[in-house]
Amino acid sequence: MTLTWSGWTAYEASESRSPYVAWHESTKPDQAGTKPPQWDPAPGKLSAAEAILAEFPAGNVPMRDSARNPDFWQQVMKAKDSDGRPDLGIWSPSLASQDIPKLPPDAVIVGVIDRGIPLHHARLRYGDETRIVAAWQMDAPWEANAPSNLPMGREVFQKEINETIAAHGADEDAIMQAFGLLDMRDKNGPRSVARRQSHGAAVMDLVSGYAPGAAPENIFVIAVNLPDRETIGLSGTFLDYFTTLALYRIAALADYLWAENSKRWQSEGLSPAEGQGGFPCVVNLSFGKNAGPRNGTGFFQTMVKELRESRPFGAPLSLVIPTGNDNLAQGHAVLDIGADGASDDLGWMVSPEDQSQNFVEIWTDPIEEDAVDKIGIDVALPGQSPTAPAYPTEPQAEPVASPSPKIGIVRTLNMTGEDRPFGALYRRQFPEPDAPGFVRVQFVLAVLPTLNLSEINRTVPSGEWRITLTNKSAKPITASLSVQTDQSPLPTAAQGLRSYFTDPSYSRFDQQGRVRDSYAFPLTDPPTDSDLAHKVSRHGSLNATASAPGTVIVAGHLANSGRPADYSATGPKNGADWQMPTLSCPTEAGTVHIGTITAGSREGYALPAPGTSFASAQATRAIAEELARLARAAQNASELDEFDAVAWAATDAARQDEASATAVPKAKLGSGRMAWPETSRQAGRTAEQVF
Amino acid sequence: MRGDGFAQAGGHAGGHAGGHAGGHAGGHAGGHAGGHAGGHEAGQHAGSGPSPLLSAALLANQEGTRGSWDMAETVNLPKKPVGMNYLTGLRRIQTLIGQAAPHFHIRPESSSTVSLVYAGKAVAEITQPDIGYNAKASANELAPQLALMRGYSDLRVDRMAEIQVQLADITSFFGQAARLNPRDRKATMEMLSIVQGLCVPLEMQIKHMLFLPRPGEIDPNVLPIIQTPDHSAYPAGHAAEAFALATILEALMAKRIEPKEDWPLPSRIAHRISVNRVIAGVHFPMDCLAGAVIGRALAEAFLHLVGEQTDLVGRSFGAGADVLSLDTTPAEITRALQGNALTGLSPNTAPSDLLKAHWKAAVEEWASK
Repeated sequence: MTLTWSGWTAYEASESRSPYVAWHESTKPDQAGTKPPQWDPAPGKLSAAEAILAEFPAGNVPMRDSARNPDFWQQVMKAKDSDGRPDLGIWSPSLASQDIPKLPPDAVIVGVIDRGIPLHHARLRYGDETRIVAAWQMDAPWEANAPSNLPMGREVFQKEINETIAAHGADEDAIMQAFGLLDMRDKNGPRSVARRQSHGAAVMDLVSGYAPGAAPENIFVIAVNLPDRETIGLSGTFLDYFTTLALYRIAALADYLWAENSKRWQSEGLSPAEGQGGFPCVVNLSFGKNAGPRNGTGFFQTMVKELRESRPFGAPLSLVIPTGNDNLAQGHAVLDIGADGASDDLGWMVSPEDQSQNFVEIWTDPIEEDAVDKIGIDVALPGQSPTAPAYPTEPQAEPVASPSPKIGIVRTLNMTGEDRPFGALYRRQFPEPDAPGFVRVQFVLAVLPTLNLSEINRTVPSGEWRITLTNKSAKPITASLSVQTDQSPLPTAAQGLRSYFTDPSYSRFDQQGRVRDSYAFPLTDPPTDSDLAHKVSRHGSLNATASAPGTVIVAGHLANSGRPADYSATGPKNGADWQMPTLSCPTEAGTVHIGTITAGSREGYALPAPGTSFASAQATRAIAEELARLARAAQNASELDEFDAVAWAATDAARQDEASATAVPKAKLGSGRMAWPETSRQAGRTAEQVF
Repeated sequence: MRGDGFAQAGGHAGGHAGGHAGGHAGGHAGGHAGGHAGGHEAGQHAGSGPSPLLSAALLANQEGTRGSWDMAETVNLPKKPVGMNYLTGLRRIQTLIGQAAPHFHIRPESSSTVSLVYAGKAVAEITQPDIGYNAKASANELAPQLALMRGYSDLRVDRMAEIQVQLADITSFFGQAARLNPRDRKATMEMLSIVQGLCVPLEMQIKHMLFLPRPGEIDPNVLPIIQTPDHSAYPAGHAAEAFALATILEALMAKRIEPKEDWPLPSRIAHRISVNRVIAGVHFPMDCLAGAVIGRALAEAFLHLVGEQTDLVGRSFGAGADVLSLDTTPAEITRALQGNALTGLSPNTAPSDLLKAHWKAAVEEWASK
């Protein structure tokens, strides 16, 4: 069973720009399935719809069969925007006027994109009225007969939520089934809310759960319930598809609700702030990936930027994302390689008995275009010697401007007699913004699992692989390597094991025997860097999805001591401010009292939830409450338009953390540590924090 | 009380030394026969367990009640037992192991190869991996196996519970798939105990003859999380027994449940049990491949002995040049289990009708309506 790497070839397939999607396609057995709509983009800048289709060809995105709307993208192709390009606009809802949720002019929209959000939860309503005005249930059955303008699932609005709650009363399971959140009969049916604790319930309560009557009257929620882990991909292959659509949907709904509600305000003697064109939004996305460009040029980051820049006046859109929990996963490494043929290598441990695929991304820092072919890469299997064949010429650049560059060249890992590959290595070039002639080179390495119970021969060997980079250019380069996210289908299963990098100089524990974090604690002024290995580093492990200017990035700490949570991922060593966490919120009460108390999947549960997902939710809450205050008081929409969530959150955290006399390490805690929000369940649990 | 000595000597490796009353070929995975067949059954009085106090009380009772020992005039003999159900499970198992054992033996073929022989044929031929053992051995020969173990050791946290339980009990894990219980699957469970009890003395001989030091002896960094047993690493006993049990169960389960895939659930369970020993740090991956071959070969030969199977396959492992680079994955196991058809089997001369009757009883536990 010997596997050998092929030589490099120009990448011919025209479908996807994403190496993960390309890999996904190449490993599927031949299936007669829905072919993606034929589409030849005209030259020029792609519309949002086209950008999504270029990254994720519509026929290829997996999802529950019952949830898929087979005609959606065909209709999108036919609809044209003012530039004559396929347009998402077809998906605007059309509700009867009595069904449109009523919002005041000073309303603030809080978006929650998550999985397993129970829409009926008492903490999100006041009496019989829910504060959730709309929810897109991506996993719910798509109803062929109902007017459905969504690519999958269905949408429920406030009136339907209220009516469903009234109809079923205390039978929460029935309510969740009605919303497509729970189907125990289908073997692959959604069931994240069947467990006591669902991620979405925990996040939703922290973002916008209040005791009855305590919620600010002008905060309203739009929720998006994402599909299950297998649909999104255990390594997040399709995450950006669902999160981009979710975010665009929240914005579109906010604008729809503004347009519809503004029709009746005047007759009711209400008016928005001067010049305002929409509701301000803050969106929590407690998800992310461990590997990506980390400089704002990734697909999702570019789409977010476009969306934020297109918002109407007075309706800013802010995005809040956690740092992630992978600080200690040994999944990030930096290699500094000299010029003129120098090389360096890194061990990559792929676990045996691992039923999930494994991916690594390798990024160079910006280099000149003519140096690209001088950077060599080799991936040697355990026990094999490296081979580094020459590069072919890449195909010509194409005339469409897409957020995502095309795959240029590829090599595959093959076994004689088998037609499908066992691994692949893709190369792409990302033009560096503001530096013409410079690109960052991305390699994506993909390999099959080491244990495959359904096709037992479709595996790769476990053990220590070796990635070698060689630099024949005239200038030294820095390469950063990240192991991509790798989950099991169920949160507690151990079927999907994450690979990691090996470095003899990496130390897991400090001198006292505590788990070693990026900085020593108690904090010193200046902070003491304790992340000292040569190659593998905690610095740089921060959520790749979060790394974009304008995103509020939230880290975690222990409430009783101010100690940073050791798992809370760290920003890069010499990064820009926007690549660092913005602030930190409490993710644990203390070393023994883990987690932050929040809602479970049923109204009777309150459970501790550890992790930076729940720090992000608290920051979103704080920002929403501040926006609500601003909106109530604003006379002119410029006050809203100028609201910079990142600046505000950083300043407020620094204010709350002023009691600390020590300097706060930015890469770990941002500008400072916020206490638990006063309006959340944690109020009164700890004394005013003094660290 | 003979069992005591074993139990004390066993200590941590207790399960392996048997540690249950009777101290017969207890097996690595120990407690099987003792457990279910009820070590407590043997010697159990009508109302309580044996003890010196009870015997003293019975003595007093005898003296107080018997009077003078007058022989009875006539005695009607009790009926002669038909079948073996008059025996406790443990004694039945011991009897049947006794009946099966003479059909199998280990034959050395060379200084580095031994065969498991049944009906005059080598059903499994196992060769010691060539690490130049008798010359000055280079530990680097085993480096690829140790490299694999390093990866496996990352899984210790995940597998801790299984590793601990499987020190003494692998049957419970098969029980998950096959609803094993001492009432309506009694014969099945006893059959598994018999095969496991048969396997241990055979595997111990092979281990001795093809002695390979344990991983912890080769590299101190292995740091196993359970006590390294005294016997040789190669072949792996857990793998042999697990694959033997899987083979028997698959034959029984197939009576009622149509097997759908090539790598059915009992084999998956056996694979996981084997891998757990590598994860724990007491076996090289290749030990499990050799064990799987022995276990499958032994069980199929047993099925032939009881009349269930008519064809047999001869298998071999260990002689290939690449054996030191092999990992114990389902694909490799499947490859290792391939063999060649055996013909010209000698007829059975030792008795086996009690075994056949007991197999029939086991099969009946899987009957459909």
